[in-house]
Amino acid sequence: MHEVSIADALLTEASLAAASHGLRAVNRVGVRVGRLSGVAAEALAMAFEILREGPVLGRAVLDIEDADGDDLRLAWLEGE
Amino acid sequence: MRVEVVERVLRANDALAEEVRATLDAAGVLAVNFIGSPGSGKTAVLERTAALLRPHLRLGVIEGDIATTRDAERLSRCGVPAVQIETRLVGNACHLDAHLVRTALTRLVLRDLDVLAIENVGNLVCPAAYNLGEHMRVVVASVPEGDDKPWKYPSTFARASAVILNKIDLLPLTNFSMDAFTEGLRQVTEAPLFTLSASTGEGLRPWIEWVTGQRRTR
Repeated sequence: MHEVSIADALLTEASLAAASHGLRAVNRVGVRVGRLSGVAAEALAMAFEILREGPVLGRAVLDIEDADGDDLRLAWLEGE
Repeated sequence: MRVEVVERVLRANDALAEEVRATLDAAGVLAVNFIGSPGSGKTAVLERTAALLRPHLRLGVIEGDIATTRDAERLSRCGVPAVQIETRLVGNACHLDAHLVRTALTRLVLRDLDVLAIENVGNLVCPAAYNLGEHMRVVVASVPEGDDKPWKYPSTFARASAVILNKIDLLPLTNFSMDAFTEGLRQVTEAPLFTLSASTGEGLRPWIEWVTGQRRTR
């Protein structure tokens, strides 16, 4: 269950990206998860929902796209 | 408003891993990340490896476990400088990360080492995602685990620079098929396969020659 660690790192990167793009509230977080990344999408989604907090990311919904290889990237943010 | 970001999720870990790699390169140390299930024999392989490398190369070890310092004590008894990481102290992590390794490195005298083995927490899934700053990964599988492991854990085997199949002395006692194992392995990687027994010592020479060659060419 390293998805908790992955979700924690994802929220950190999303928080930095939101700040650099001037987003005060993020609605959706797009993440690419490679089929060989060793990350289980359901477990990542659950960990993300448990760990998200605060005014910027507290209501963000995770949008997981399948990808090739061992890709594991924060792809995009949607918000205001 | 939608903004494109495209940033590695483990960017912070990867940055620390680069620091670790730079430290190791400056000291001329080859670092190998050993990944395998609990009980696959990672520590036993390292005990044998240390003894056989000793006349030529000096091995140091970072041991990763959820609890106890047993593995570091085993390697210490073999005369190997060994540092234990107990992940129970950092949230029971099921894998090592670059931050843990960077901290552990400060407890080793790198100029006294040629090869650093980082034995990851026993787990065939979670450690695969984390770059520790190693130069190469070795997956340790073993006969009693069954011949289907490369099929079931492709992301772990695919990133290995070499694969060890340990406990081949048990082959006559099991229905393990070497053909099935090799076929599964070749679906995901062309990495060399070393079949050996850390218990009897059989098959260790090609593995030791490979490690020695990797260190020499670096």
